[in-house]
Amino acid sequence: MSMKFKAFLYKLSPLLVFILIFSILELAVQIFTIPVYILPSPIASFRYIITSFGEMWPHMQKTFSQYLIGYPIGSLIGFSLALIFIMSKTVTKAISPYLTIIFCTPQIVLIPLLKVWLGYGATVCTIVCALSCFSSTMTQIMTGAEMIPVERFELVKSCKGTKLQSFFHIIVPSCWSSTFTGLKLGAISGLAGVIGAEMIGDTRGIGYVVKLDTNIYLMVEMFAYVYVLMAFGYIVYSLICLAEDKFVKQ
Amino acid sequence: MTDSIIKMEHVDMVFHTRTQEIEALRDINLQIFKHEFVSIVGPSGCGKSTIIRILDDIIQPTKGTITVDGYTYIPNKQVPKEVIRKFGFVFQNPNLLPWMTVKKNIMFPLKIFHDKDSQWEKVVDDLLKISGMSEYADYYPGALSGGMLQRVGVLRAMSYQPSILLMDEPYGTLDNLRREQLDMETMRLWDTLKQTIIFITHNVAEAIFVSDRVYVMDTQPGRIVEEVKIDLPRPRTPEVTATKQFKEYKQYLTSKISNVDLNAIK
Amino acid sequence: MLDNDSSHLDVNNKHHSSISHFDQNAELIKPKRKSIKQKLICDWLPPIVVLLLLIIGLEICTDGLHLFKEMVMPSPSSILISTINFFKLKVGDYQSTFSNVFIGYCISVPLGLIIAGLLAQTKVLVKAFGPLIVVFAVTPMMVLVPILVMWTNFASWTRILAVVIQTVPIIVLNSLAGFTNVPAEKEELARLYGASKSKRFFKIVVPQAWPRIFTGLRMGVVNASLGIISTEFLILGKGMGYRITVACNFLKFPLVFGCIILVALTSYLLMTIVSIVEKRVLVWKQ
Repeated sequence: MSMKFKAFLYKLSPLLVFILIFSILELAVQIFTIPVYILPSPIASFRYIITSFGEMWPHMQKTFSQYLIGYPIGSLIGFSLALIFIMSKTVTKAISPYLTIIFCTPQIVLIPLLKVWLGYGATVCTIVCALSCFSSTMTQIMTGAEMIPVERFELVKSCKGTKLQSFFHIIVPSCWSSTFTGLKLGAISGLAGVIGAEMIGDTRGIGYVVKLDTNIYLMVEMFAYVYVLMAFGYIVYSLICLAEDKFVKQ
Repeated sequence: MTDSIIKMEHVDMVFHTRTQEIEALRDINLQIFKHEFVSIVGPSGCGKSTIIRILDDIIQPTKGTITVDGYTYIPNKQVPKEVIRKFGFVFQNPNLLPWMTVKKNIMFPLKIFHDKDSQWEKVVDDLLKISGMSEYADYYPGALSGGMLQRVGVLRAMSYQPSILLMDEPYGTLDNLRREQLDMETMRLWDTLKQTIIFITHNVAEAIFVSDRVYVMDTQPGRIVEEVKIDLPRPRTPEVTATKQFKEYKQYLTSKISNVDLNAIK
Repeated sequence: MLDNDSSHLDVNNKHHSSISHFDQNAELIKPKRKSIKQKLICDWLPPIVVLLLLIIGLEICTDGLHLFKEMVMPSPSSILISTINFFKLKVGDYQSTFSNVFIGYCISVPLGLIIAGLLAQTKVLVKAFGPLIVVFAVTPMMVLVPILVMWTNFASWTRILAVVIQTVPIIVLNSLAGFTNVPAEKEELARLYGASKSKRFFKIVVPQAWPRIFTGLRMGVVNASLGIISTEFLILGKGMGYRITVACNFLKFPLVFGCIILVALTSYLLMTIVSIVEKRVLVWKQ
């Protein structure tokens, strides 16, 4: 095998792995004649995605749009609050244990309560998503700010810089990489928040449909939605990683 | 000519942290004259870095008088910008900001001072040319080695043409060969630009190699125990370290410091 | 002694970070550790003050001034009383939830580390399976819980399995990142001394990966909690998730708040335990 071909295969290997896995599943389903209510053939699910995209779209749109609203809002609030709080060491010390507690708790515990307050509906999902993202970005940025080397502040002091200059020229740029870590974590927990909220208490959306389809044995459809969800999550996460590579020069 | 441009009289520094009280400096008295190359040498933790931070008004002393070029520091009041501009500070580790290019890092103090004239850009370009770093102007710090990062750190300290350079163990983390090269380059720049340099190091040999005068400090509490004039001819080359006079200086100074590592490499 | 050029200076030199210049000098003169008493006062006083103010304030607003409806914010005293009263009798829910978390986590950690370790052996494996791991880490595995239940026929270990599938991917993701981002000079060091592949892995790659591995372990705790609570919301019957749902349906809001707080505190406790272990391990390694 030539070097070029090997390099080409290397680049393509993730795709090959996906194809391999789906092929194995498909073969297993065919050879062992696994009943469709235990494991549907992946090809059937892909066919469903292509043929019934119109039916899938409303649920997809609901989930994705709530995620794409809650995630930026939560992250932005977390980002802004973090930058405000890190200006004061006492405030940071006072609230960071509670932030960590919020971060550690799966935000979906709040869903029954939110349902009582706000009723069934889209808002619950968006709020849970925003909360998850908020705690991720905030905790990461505040941790990142603690790691800024003291000499950077001394540098500004040695030029008689103001606290504001310190903020814009040292704190904010130094925190970029923590911000992106927080965004990555937020992407994951935000998606879990939306899906969880839909599975537990909603009447539309991917989470709801997956739960419904499983209960009424529509496994082909159910896996179709799962594959779509996986693709969406992967795309969002990859976009953030790409943005991180571009904007963070460490 | 014989008037000192920097004078510290009876300076004390006591740090009050939440957990303990540390007497970092006790009764520091020193004088620096124009165009002098003075080293302060001593073991780790003796407070030599504290002294130059006090001079650059990064820390305020608990007691004592500091005079720079006729201006006396007023306690609890910020030193005016015009006085601070006379100082250039070189940190122990290069302390470059990784998201800015080399040139932007060098111009950073100018940005903080709100100097936006294109005239300053020319000064920085000249500095890069003098030190032979012009080709690295658009590199990011992540691409450079430690020695080069520190050279950029020195250039940054000089970007606003200060007359006094404060250097906090600038080459301590580098290997012997690189340190020697950078010492020579520092002396060359000092000779060209006619600055006054206060050079902090824990390496006695390096202190003797570069300076006109050496203050020796001891620790616990930090205090000056000796002041020695170095009468070696300039320009100094590495061969001077083999001379009898150099070795005598080294032995004498070393004996003045308790618990010392000879030629300690950090 | 190797007079090596320490040219790759760590820009984020930890020693200079959160310690101010004052403390830096202090460290060199006096012993490092603050006494526990002083540490307690400095680090824990502000948060405790905030908590006390919050509790007292809420107590005044709810029981005293009746500013909030009970369903919005019950008084802290009622939360405490109803929670204690409930769990005095029936500790089963709490036990079920967190024993599942514990067992699931204890299974996930070695599993995740082994998977990451195996994948890290060749660049090809990392490249090929990397995206797959990302997919499993990003997608909330709770979507598979209904079908898991169906496959396992409501077995008792379904919940543990749910925790495992939620936790393993994130541990693998972070550990793999740690195993694959070895600084160049450490690789060269290993090659210079002719270390065998396994020695290279265990003596050089793994130790420098510990920080990222522990990040994964801490995230794993969060995910384990997420996994169990979401499972309990879906498979009702026992557990804190179930208890919160039932209590909400019966409008017992102090109990709801109490359960939420219990879940929060226990998750925090578990994560703190991992952080403490991390501090011990990293101190020994470095």
